[in-house]
Amino acid sequence: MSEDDKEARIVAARLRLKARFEAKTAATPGVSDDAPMGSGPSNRHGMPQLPPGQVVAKGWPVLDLGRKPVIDTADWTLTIDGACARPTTLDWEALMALPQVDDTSDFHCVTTWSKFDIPWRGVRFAELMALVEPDDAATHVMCHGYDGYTTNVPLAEALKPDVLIAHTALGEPLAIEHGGPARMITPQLYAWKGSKWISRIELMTEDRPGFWEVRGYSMSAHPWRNDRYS
Amino acid sequence: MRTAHAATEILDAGPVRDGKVPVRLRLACGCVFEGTIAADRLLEVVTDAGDGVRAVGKYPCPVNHAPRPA
Repeated sequence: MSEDDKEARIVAARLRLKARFEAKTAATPGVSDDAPMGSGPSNRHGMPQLPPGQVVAKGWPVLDLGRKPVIDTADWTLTIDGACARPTTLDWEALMALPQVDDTSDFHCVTTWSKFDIPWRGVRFAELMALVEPDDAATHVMCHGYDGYTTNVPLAEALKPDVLIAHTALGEPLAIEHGGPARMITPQLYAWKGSKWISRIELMTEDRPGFWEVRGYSMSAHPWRNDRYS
Repeated sequence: MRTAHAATEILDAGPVRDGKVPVRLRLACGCVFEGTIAADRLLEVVTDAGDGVRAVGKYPCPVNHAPRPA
């Protein structure tokens, strides 16, 4: 397939995803709730900047499962598979060859701290989905980390433009303790939905709980609904 | 399977040694966690009541309470 054909295929896939998920994404609580909980000025999606039960952190804490895998970018891969037409494995060079975006977003940890205005750089999750072309039956993803972590995210949330596979934060390569070389971020969900040290994105045709969800944490994780537990 | 909860209160914290600190924490389920945690989990925060320190992260519940608010 020529580069032009490939680009045309990706554009067509992007449009199909948009047609299929635009209304569902617009209906998600993080953008559609009429009376969201929280305080402070509105964020760019119309939600209060500080979700309920959160406090503003001065630093940027490190929370993980106790294992911090050291993955050199020369060895790093991201596999995207499951319910899709074109499963693939990207190496670092392939990730960097994809369109890169800069976005500044907030970070809300379920353990009650929030950090505002983190500048990120990375690849939109939606870009990866256009590459692999999810099956019509695909509804959720399970994100896997190199540390054995897993977490589930609905596609209607994951396809939002601020959901990134981020490799840069605060102008620096993403530090190992923050999930580098690459992690997922989900600014409109509690941050545990964004796997650090991401290694695999598995497309699923039904929802399935990940590491914390099995332990009683929410399948949906909406900060402005104080949706912490299942 | 071991359940884990956010900490709601720092009951006691000892000296930092090698980046770690011994703590007693009240968990969201009401139980007390006692152990040693990374020092950077004690975090300065800004609240309506003024600045303070919180213990961030989830900690194992000694009696396996389901993770719901106390």
